[in-house]
Amino acid sequence: MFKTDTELWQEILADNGKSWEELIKRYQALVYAVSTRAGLTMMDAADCFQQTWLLLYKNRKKLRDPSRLSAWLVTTAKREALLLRRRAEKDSGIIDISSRQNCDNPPGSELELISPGPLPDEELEQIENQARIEIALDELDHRCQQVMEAFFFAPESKTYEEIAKSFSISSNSLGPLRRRCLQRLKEILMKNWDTGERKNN
Amino acid sequence: MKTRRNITSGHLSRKELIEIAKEQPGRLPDHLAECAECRELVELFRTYAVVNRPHLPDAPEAWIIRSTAIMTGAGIKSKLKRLKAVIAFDSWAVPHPVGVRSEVASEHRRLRFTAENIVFDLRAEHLQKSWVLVAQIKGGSDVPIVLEADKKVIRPDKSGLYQWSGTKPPRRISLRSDEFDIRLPELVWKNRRLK
Repeated sequence: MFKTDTELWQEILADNGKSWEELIKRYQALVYAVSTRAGLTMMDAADCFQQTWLLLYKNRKKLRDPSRLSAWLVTTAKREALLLRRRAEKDSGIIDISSRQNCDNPPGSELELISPGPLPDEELEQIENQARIEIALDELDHRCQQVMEAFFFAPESKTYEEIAKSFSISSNSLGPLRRRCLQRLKEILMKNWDTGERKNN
Repeated sequence: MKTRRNITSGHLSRKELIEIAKEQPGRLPDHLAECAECRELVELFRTYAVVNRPHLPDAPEAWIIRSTAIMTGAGIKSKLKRLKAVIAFDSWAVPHPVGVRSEVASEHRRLRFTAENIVFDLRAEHLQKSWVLVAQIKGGSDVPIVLEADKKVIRPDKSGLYQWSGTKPPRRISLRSDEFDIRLPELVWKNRRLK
């Protein structure tokens, strides 16, 4: 039975450790993606990851809208990543050229930071969207997961008939199956993250 | 009106659905007017533009365990131990092979760092266009240690050696395990012996 973020959050506020664990498992890939793509070393990314969860826990009573949890995690992880990045730059005397408009240091010079700059908001939004789809896919039964995976993540582009063949069913049988799975996927997405609200944010 | 069979046989491929999702709403093929699922897929592809992207990778298990333990307070206590290594040995000298009197032309450096009971040995050799590096870590518990040299992550081979190469020698090295993070002082690669 799928629990929404809001439901999980209510249980966390009542000191339910299992719900806290479930929430971390749900969003670990999202926080990990932000931490590791912000140009941090693995060591700092590990700190960023843990600090994000620590801040969530410390601020648990202040969080007003648990349905916006994924956005809160992305924003917090990004802010922590920036803090760690500045600290690392300060420690090593390296200047982040991605944040300077008039750069005197050409690529390859000693002052160039090897890693790219922090992720832009569009990229973060895409990661958040992807995490939502993947979380929703995880909640589907195995058969539906396979069908939806074929439409979202399969590397090669297959025709409808080829997808049906890979499941050893006819094209006519794939239709109702796909319809059922799609409906379930949409229900989960709508239940946990109202897509209408997302577009307005 | 089309029968279900006709609609099904006319289903669009994933590629076609993705292409439609990328375009502006309004230019929809006839099939979409009759096929609610295809319309929904296009809408999903439009809202969640993640098709053809690889899955988001999972965080390392140790990170998840530490964060999960935050609620009991154990996660905060078990934060990684951060250590700064100090240099114990640094030499560009190369021992001459038996019978050879002249100086060996290639650059060769040996370094040793220590942090608590952990010893880190690094040997670097400058070839014509690249640097070859071999490192060894002694001491510490049996937990696996990963070496991070600038942006490269190096794991030990079967003999416990960390081997890698690059066009430039590393400036920042750190050793990381589930128990500690050891940061080496920044390395400067100027061979005063050759000047």
